[in-house]
Amino acid sequence: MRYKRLIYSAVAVVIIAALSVGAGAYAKSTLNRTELVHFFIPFPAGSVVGPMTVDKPDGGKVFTRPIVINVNERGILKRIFQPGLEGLSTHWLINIDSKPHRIGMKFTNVNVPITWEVAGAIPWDPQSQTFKEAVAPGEQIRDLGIDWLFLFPPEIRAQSVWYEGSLVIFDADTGEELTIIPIKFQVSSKLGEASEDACCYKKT
Amino acid sequence: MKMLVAIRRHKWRYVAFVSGFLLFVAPSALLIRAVYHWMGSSANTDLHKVCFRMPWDWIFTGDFAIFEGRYLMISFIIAVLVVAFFFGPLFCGWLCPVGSSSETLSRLMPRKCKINLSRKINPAALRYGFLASFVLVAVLSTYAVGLGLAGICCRYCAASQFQNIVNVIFHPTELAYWHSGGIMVIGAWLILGGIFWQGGRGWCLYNCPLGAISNIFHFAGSKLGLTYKIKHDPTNCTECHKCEDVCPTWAIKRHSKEIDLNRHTCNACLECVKVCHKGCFKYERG
Repeated sequence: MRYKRLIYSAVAVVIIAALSVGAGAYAKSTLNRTELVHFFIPFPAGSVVGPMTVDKPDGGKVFTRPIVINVNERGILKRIFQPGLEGLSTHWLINIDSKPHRIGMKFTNVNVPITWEVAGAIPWDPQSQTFKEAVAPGEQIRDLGIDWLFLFPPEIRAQSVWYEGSLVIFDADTGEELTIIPIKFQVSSKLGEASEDACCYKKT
Repeated sequence: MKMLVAIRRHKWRYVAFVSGFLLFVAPSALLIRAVYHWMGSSANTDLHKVCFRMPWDWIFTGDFAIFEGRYLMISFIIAVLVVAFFFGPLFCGWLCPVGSSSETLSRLMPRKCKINLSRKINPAALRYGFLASFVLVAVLSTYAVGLGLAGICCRYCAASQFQNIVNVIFHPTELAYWHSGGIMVIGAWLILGGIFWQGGRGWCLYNCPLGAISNIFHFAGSKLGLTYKIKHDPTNCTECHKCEDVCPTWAIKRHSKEIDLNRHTCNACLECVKVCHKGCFKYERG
């Protein structure tokens, strides 16, 4: 009896381990690339035309790239239960300049409703879509959580490109555009090119 | 009906469940709100801010710098572990909103419909098997990138999904994003590990790193005479098996009058103390 219990317990460990490794593989291959993709936003980084690494004043580096989501690469549960709502997220707005910036954000070429959920250690003004205080050089907004939720109606979902525009980070005081990150939601069989650094609060 | 009996038998524990919800879960999140107010931060105050998973991912991947400035998260983890060492995993058994909700839900389902492997396997195997796998995946995803693994910390987080569900209840007109990992978690936590799991603590046993580490601390602490723990005296035992039946974490295994009390899964909920009318179980020092 005791021996049997030991065997069953060992089998349970193997099953748990297999499920955990499988979950890690699924997260890497599918979830992190296509569902509520998280990405780094350094500023000023100019127009982000391809994958790029920019230097921080303290010597660190920040990776960024255009965000391309292939919606038919999403997980099957997402496609079944909530196909029309897509999201992007960041915890990392990083000032790589040598001077402070009070920043704002906007999307270009908006064709669908986008809900903004913004909260961080610096207060956010939803009317002007700007933060109320500057981010110091080399610093990032602490405890930041931003989710952008795109609601795609069926007529948009019938098209091959659901959204193609960009996220613009601008200086709220001068209006200067600091970083422009292209964003695209498309129906494609190609693998997505979104950031894979998708675990919350990962170190920059 | 059985749920009402359980609540009546151990009402202070259910009061603690509600307190845990009010302290940690938005829209109230009283504890987190108070700390953030004191810090002068306008960041979101929700369950996510005392994450049960991320700190372990950072520790096991050597990402220590990320703890800088995260005083609430650090204090919370330390407090949970210190309490577990001296008094047992009281956070798990009394306050955790994730575990308390699945445990409460499980009481809705008749016993015969629920999974009960407590006699077939050692539940510690589930608990530490998951912890070892969690660490393994965290390490491999960081140091062996070519293997194609990502951490299983955030994508499979029941606390995030719990907060999402509560947000939907309190703000039904707002959009809530459900990703495939989150939907799987709801199935594993509330349905398989909750409604259909004897005791309703399936998720705690097979997917919670904080629970596993709390029990390591409890196990170590229980070796000392000065700490509090559940103790069993079989003298008056009538072999009714009720203690085994009510234990939500399968920590009690009977052999006639004697029992194996598994410190690796016991969460000091005191259900066994309350259900035993012969006073065989006591929560005391020694």
